[in-house]
Amino acid sequence: MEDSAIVSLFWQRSPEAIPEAQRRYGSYCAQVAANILGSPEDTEECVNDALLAAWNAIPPHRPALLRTFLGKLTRNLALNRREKALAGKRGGGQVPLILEELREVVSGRSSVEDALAQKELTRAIDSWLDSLEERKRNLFVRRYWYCDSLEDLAARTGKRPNTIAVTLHRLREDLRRHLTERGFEP
Amino acid sequence: MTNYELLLALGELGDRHVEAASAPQRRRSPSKGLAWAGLAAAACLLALLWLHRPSIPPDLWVEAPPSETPEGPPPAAPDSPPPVLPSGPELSLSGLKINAGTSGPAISGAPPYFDPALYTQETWDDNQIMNYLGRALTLPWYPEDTELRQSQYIVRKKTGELVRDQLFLTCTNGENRTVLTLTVSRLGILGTGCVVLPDTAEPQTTDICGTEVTLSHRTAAGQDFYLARFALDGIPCQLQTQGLPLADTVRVLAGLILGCDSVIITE
Repeated sequence: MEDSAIVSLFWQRSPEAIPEAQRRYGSYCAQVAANILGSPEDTEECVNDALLAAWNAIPPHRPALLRTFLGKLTRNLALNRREKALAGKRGGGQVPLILEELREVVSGRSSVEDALAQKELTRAIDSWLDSLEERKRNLFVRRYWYCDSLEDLAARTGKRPNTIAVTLHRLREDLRRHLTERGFEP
Repeated sequence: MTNYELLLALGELGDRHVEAASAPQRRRSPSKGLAWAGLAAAACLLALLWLHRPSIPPDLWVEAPPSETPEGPPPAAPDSPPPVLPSGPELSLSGLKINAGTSGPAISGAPPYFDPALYTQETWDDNQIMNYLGRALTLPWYPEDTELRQSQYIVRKKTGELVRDQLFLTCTNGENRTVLTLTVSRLGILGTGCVVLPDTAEPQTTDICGTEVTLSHRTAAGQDFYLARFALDGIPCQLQTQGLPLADTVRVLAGLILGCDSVIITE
């Protein structure tokens, strides 16, 4: 079933909406969640939560790309779930490593207090991504959006994990420069 | 900012970036890539031999008998310089016969409904596709900065009869816009296509690398739409391009027919 038909089911409040969305994008969402959470049980619960969140968000939303809409819901819910899990000392997936890497880009002082500032920051990162060649752009998004492991990226690109790590390091340096030039205090 | 704030901000990246990164990587694994490179090179060599067959002396096509080393000084080198082979088969746009078409009547793009009680939808893997078509479903050449994706619509009656066998390759650009679609169907179910020819005119065909191709064109909103219909090994195929120049459209087409990514297109 096409995206538009599934979104229509959500708008009609049809009980088929969630099963159809799960059939089409369940495994995609599970991959996003699993990279962040690591645990299969948490992943399954997180995907169910994301589909429920989609049910609550559509309407009023009418996403043009249902896959990325569900992916973003899943990613946010997985990060929230991970924060809670940390209190109970379980889970983690790739996030601890990724946070360590991102420490190179930031100062560590909280500065993004409101949603507007965060949107500006996202827009600046989007424009930086636009300036990259496709291969590097996809590599960065796979690592920091999909939270793929270096090994997965190596398998995906046919390069060695060390090479991937070096490329990502250079990309982080470049992002830091880009954000500093645009007035963000990293 | 903190690294966690940055991680959250990254979560709101533009859909186009997230979507583009979700596509399968263009690069294949080294062993598979080498195998494909070998196949492509062999196909190119065969294509070159075929294209240059009139200029190759007939005795080069047969195995020469072993000869004894002649006595005396070696023969002098010929005066003419060694021939320079082109880096790929050449194809000229000047001889193409392009039929002028229109967008035709608006037709619903929704696929027909198949009752799940009577039909099942199947998903074929690469091996099943290879067995069905007798060749891999791939495009040796497609435009840079686009992502190639494969999809399919396979429906079978529960009695076993195949009623839909559409296999698709699409290329989307950075704006997630489809720039080309290849449809392959042994049953000949190719859809209406982006260019419709008037019923009154007999469409002209062009021989492209030994394959009869019906090539049609229309423009809309300042963009070129090309539609090519042809058969590969007897299997009906349709290539549609949107916003691609003619040279690129023909390069995709010739690459597919020859199984070669280095076709040179000349005016």
